[in-house]
Amino acid sequence: MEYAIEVKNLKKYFKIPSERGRSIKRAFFNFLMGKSSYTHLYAVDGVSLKVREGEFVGVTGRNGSGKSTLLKLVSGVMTPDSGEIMVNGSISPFLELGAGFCKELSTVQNIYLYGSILGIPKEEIAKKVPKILEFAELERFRNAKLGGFSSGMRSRLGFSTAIQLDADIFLVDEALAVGDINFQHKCFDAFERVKKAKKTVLFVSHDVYALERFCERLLLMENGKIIDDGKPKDIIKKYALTELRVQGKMAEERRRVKRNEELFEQF
Amino acid sequence: MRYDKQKYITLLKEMTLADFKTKHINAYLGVLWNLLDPLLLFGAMYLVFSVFLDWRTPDYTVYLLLGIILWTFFSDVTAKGMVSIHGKAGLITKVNFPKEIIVFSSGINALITLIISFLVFIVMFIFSPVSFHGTIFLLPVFIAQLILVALGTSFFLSAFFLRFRDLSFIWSFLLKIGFWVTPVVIPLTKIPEKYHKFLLLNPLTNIIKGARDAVIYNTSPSIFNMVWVTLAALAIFLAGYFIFKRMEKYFADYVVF
Repeated sequence: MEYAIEVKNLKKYFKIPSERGRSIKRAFFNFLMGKSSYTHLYAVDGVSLKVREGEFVGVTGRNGSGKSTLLKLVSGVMTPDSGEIMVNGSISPFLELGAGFCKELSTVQNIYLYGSILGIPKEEIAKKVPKILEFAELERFRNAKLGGFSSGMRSRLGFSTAIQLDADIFLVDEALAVGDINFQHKCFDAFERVKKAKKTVLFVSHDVYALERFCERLLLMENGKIIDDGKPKDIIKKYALTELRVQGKMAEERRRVKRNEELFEQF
Repeated sequence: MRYDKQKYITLLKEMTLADFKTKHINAYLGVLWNLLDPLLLFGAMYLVFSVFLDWRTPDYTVYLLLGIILWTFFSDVTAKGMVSIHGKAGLITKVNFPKEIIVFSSGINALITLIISFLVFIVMFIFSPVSFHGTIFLLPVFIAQLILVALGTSFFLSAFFLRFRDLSFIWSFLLKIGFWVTPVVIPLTKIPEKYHKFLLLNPLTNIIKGARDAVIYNTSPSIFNMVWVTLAALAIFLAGYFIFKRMEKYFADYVVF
């Protein structure tokens, strides 16, 4: 059996500098006094994980449990202090949508910029521009500067561009909480397609609804460790992920309210 | 994510373009602002050294402008290159890509300014009493050496700037000293002969001197000088590049602070 992602005893340790900052002067005094101006934190503390090809794996847990750091390590954005990462195939990072967007450029120019950052060849971007604009519902703003856009418009553009990248492995960090209700439906559809295409996905989210809907397997993280691994339903039930459930319920509730509002508007 | 040659070039192009546009799009004079800086410096220095002090060497106008243009390029590339990685923090913590592209793109932007400055230089050259020499065609060699030194220095500075922010102050201080020590405005002939061998240890002094000799005095540097300056420039570039590549994988840990 081929593994798409194989991770062995991964550790990542953070040194967060104190507010007094870092400088040659600081370094010198700290050296003299034998003091540390850092707060230390094990963000990922001995994680081992195997993800099969075509598996849709969810990752959840409290804030600061190390989910995002795990994704950053797998994507190569960060380098682990110890442990091994083996990745089989090309990676599309959805770590933050529209990272590298330039607010002085127009929508179309930003598609080219972001596309090239993600490693999409230029001709391919050129072919996909109309599709991206349509998906993002930004055709009218194709020549408008991004600086004037709302955050929702920006993330829509980011998602629409990133989803065009044909990769083997998708790393998704809360990307579905993007845009309005209409757009969220489109995102869900897009993810459904990714799932059908048997792509490997590592999906970090707090949204229980989305986790249950997409994932075949759910990892629960706490304090930098994976504390459980199994079917989403079981894990959610077993740990009574109340916090998450409340968030998920709220998201669902919000969706329902919005849907009703939309219905009202139609009349 | 692997970037093959084609993707690499696409990214370099897009990033350079984005940097260029960000810098100039909201300024009415656009790119012309970049010209004003060396020209003002030129005007001030010319006034002081040529009019007030009357240190005039033959063809001081061309001599001075050429030196200032080349020096401005160096200080431009290194000062902007140093903060370029830090300026792209949002990108570095989110996407894994070859980070040297950021430094290259900031270098290319400075190169565009250099090219435009040379247009001004050509105009001034035509109106100056300096006659045209064949050695002027050596100029690209000196510029290539200068680019290597400037990029190598930028790689080094940008990587270490993430750990030590004091570097920006130190570097602007060193640039000020370098401006007088290289020397950019004081003709080398005005400096006592015994100091020349120390000054000529600096590759920048050799490059600027070589360029001036070639353009104004119809002389080319000795083969020996040419070879060692090129090798020194190459060594600075490669050393900077390899240090940068070694530190690159930990950029995401430092860049946010």
